[in-house]
Amino acid sequence: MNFQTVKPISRRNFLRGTGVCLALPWLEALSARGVRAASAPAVVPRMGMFYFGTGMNMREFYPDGFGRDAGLSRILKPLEPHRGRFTVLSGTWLEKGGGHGGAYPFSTSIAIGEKQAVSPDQLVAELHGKQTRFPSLQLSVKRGTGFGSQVLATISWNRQGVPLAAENDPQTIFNQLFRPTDEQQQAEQADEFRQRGSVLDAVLADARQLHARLGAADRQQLDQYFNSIREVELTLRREIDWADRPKPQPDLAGKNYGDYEKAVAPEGNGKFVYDTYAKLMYDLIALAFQTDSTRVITYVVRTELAGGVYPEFGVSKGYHELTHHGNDPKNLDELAKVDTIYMQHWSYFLDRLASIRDGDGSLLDHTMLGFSSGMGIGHSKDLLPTVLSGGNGLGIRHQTHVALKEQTPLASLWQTMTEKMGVTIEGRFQDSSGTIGELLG
Amino acid sequence: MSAIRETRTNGPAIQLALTGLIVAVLTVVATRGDAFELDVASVLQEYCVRCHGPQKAEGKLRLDQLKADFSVRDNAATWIEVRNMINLGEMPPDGEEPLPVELIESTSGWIAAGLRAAEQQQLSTGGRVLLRRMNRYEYTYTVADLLSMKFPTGESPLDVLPPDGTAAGFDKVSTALLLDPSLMSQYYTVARRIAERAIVDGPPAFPTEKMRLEFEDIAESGAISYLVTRLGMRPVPGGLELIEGNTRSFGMLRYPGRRDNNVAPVNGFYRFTVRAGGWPGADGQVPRIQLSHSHPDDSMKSIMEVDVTAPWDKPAEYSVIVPRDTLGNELSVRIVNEVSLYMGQRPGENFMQRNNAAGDENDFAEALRLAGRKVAEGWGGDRSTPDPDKLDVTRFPRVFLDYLEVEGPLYDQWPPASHTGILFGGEDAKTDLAYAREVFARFLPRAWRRPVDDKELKPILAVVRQELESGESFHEAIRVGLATALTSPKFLYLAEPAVVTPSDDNAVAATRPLTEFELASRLSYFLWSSMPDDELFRLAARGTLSRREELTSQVDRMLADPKSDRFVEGFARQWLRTDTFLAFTPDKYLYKEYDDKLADAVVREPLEFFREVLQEDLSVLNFIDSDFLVINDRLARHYGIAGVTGDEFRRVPLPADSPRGGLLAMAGVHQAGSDGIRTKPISRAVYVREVLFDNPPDPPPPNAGEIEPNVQGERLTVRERLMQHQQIQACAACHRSLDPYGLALENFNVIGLWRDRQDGEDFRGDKTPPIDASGRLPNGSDFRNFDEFRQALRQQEDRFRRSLARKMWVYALGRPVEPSDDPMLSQAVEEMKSGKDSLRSLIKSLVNSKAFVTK
Repeated sequence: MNFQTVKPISRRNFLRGTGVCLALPWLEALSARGVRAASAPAVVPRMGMFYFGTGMNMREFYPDGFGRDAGLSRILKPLEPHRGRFTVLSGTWLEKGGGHGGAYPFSTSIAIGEKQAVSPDQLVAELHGKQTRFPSLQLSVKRGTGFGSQVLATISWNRQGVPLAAENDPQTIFNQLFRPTDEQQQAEQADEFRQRGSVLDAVLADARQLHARLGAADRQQLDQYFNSIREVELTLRREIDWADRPKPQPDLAGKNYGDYEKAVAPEGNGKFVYDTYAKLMYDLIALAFQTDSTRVITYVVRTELAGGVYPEFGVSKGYHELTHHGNDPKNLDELAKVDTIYMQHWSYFLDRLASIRDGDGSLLDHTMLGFSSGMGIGHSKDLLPTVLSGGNGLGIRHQTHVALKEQTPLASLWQTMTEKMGVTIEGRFQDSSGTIGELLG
Repeated sequence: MSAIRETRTNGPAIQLALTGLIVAVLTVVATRGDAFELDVASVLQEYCVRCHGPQKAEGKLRLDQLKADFSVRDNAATWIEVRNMINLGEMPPDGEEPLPVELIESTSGWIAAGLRAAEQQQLSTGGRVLLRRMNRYEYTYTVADLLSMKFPTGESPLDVLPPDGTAAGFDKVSTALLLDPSLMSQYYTVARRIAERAIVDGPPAFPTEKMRLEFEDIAESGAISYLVTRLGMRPVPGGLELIEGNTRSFGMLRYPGRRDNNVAPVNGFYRFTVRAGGWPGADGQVPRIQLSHSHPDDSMKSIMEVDVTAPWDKPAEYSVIVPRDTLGNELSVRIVNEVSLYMGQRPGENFMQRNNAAGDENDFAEALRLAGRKVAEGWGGDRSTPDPDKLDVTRFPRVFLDYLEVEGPLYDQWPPASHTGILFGGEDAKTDLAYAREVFARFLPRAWRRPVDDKELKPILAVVRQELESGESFHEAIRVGLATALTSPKFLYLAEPAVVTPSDDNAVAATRPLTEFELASRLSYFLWSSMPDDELFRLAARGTLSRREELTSQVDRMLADPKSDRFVEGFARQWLRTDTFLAFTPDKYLYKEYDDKLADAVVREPLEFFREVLQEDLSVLNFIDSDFLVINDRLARHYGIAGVTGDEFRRVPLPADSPRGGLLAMAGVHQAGSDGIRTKPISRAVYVREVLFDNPPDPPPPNAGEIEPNVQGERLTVRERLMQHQQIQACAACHRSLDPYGLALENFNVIGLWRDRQDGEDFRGDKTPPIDASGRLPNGSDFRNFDEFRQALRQQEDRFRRSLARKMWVYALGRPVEPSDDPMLSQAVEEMKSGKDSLRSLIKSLVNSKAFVTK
């Protein structure tokens, strides 16, 4: 394979694409399910988990009052058109959160520095992943895992407690999901599969040779290598399975979708505009759900510490600087302003999902989207900005604002969503206090 | 999840199962030999157990049953809660007898120490160096050295491999260098790409070409219509004269056969040459020119900036080789020290000033009228009226541009060195499996950094055979084999396998001396972040590397090699935390002088300083205080130091009246300890204690808060507001041993400028309160100002030496420091001292220590 011959995609995306292609099962280059299999259930549930790093200005977040008609706060005002399709949950907390390490316990309740465990989205992927081209998707505003630093870029963890790397380039993701494999690629594909397979065999043999000569402690380290090889082999097998099915072609015409060919990734160049980016990313999620390319997604919308503020927001400082507000009214005001912009994008996302027909309702009816943060305001463990949206058609009963029992672990929300996806959790997920009855009606 | 609640049972943990606190604490005394515990026991007994004991157990908490084993997560969590409650002054509650400050301090300190010990134990490897994978820098450097490869922009493994985890402050520690499936796949992808570059078929797709633009040709083109309207540009015989503005390439420069305006048809390295001469201005200033590329990525725009010192009539070539990708467009040459030859406004008029005045008076109609008049009369911009005072252009720096030449893509050789090195038999060699065996028998020992036996060749040869049998070309088969070698754990991991096969999984093998090859790798990954070179391999094969005098002389050789820059980048960057310097951006309205060049310079300063100390064998105590600086022109301007031109860093003697000198006077440190509008003394204090003394303070209680802005009408300094906070007794306990380290730096503002009076936030005018940087260190030494503070730190130079030795220990061994390392660290400190406190003497001591040379 010669890199210069791969013409249509830019080099950066091509290279990155191939990297991710192997990296994540969902980024395989493959075919789609044009028609949903006859055996598929009448309603296909989907779910997404979203991380907004560094908390929000919680002084202007919670609705006024409780119940369906609660008055929306400044930050949540953009969600007004979707009343009845979301619920703000006050009372959630993260025992191990409340600081910039808060992304670590976000989905698993396990503190930074501790051995991690499988995250809810991966439990769902184990059940639903067999039926979709990509078992799950990891998206983020920052690429990779960021593991070890506070700026964690992913909230997905596999069975070994290893973080799953996220992708941040809309064009790369779009191509992986929808770009048809051209003739040349198809011709090369068989060779590529064979080569990858035999390399995996050979390095596994190497690993066994090495393993035999290592002491016990070193062997434990090498276990990660064996696990990874096993996963990569599974991915390869999956790719081969899907190779002869064409990818779905989403219908983008006349629906105000952005141009994925011209998409700019956050670390790209001066042409990056967050507003455009946010919409491209949310639309990708909608498209991936619509085409049943995957049923579960995690998305780090905003990381800890860095970023979160872009020139077009018209505020004077970075997000992290603003959260260290020192009770300065101007900082708090600008913080709320930025949070409101993020909620405008969220509303755009809900609009999109609501506009797509799915079975007997809309895509939003069959999709549960939970977002929160690793902290509330001022590094607090409670006062989290927790909201569940969508899923009315899956039996979620929305009521705008619900006060949960104080210190209800965030894991309870994940358990609620996970069980609604049809996953049976024996006992409780992490420190969850069980499913949240208020949401189940 | 039960796994996470599991009691950890490894190591000599403080495993206690006790029914009463007193017993618990006494036992801890026996185990840890610490004098505090007795006090802690009696404190809790006296102040807490009445409510949190068998009688009441308020909040479901029974401190009489709380065990002192911090390695159990739930115990540790409860202890943290206890510490937070007493630190916050919330316990004992109102109405109960408060806990005296000394007792808060000792109890809280005891808990913090226990937590730290438990954390260390969790990280502990029992003093052994564990198997670890390379971090992404090491991977990239290793490939570069192994295959003599250079990576153009966007094609380095660093652009694909994600950032690595860190532990104990460095990306060298095995417990943080995890491997997950996505990384595994990326290793494979990267290895395939490397193989593509390493072995080539036929001539390059884009041969090296020379492209030249003669500037006089612009006059022949349509662009002349543009040129003749400009005062600052003039076609002259043989070229173009530039006084103001810039000239583009006007579509006259492109790679042959291309339709776009790009000189780079493929990612690679290109040589850019400008032939130019100049007239200095009346003040002797020579023209400075900048060659730039129109490019969507801002960081790719600049190609070179250079002073044209060659005279007008004897132009010289100014050249640079830089990586380019295919996204660039037109090139342009600009004169940097240009003179504006046009008038900004009508003589006698000052639109800006009048406009501002109108704005202040809310007279918007007048402001609009002024702005409109300025446009209508054609003032401002480069189409404005020539300035009559500047008609004699001979007074200004002028540059004569002869030609601009681009050569590329450049290849060191073709086929590349990797190709000829691996396929040693040349193009005529017989391409069969026997040759492939020879190829890999030669290649693998270098790739895997040790001798490789026949059995180990088998898996790769199986891959090569399969490719050949599937009809792939020999080159392609070798490429797949190469990708295998680079994806193998034998390449990715720094492995030190047992010499004999371990028979029992649980047996703790006795320590053994490293093999010669293992030692070569430890040494080269320590100082070069890469594989050993031929010399190290040769010594290892001969079996003489492990000799003390040989190790020592290899250190000297390796530090003299340019590859030792990677040690600066790897160690100093992480030790001095330069990655964190720009976490907060200074407010652009308060600190108008702050710009990108300064941001870049403040991050580089400590690294360049370290390089100087390392290479010139200066004392490490210079980090505490120095009589020199290592700065460039931008920093010199920032620090008010005259006579420094050019953006390269160099050593400059410290002027007698300058407050600079040492790490703590560097602007990057001050910026890191600021939030953009005000200083954060606590954060600076933490930096001083952790970086200079490896002595992290106890963590703050939750919601510890920030320094708040002044209430309307008050003008308290940051220090005064911090002191208010300290009046809460519970806070004072910790803060008195912390704050002085940060308050001592209060004379340095958010961007590291010296200030005698409070600035930032909304402090303006002349009557701002003065800065007080005095204080008392925990050891009792008083200081009145920053200079005395530095002197007080000099009194603790042994603490600093030891802290530095510990950091480098972690970096060199890839594991945390263990109590058993103490004697070796003491020796390292002594040897450094007797070696004039040079980094070299510390490094030599470390590589000769028992921990470094044994597994």
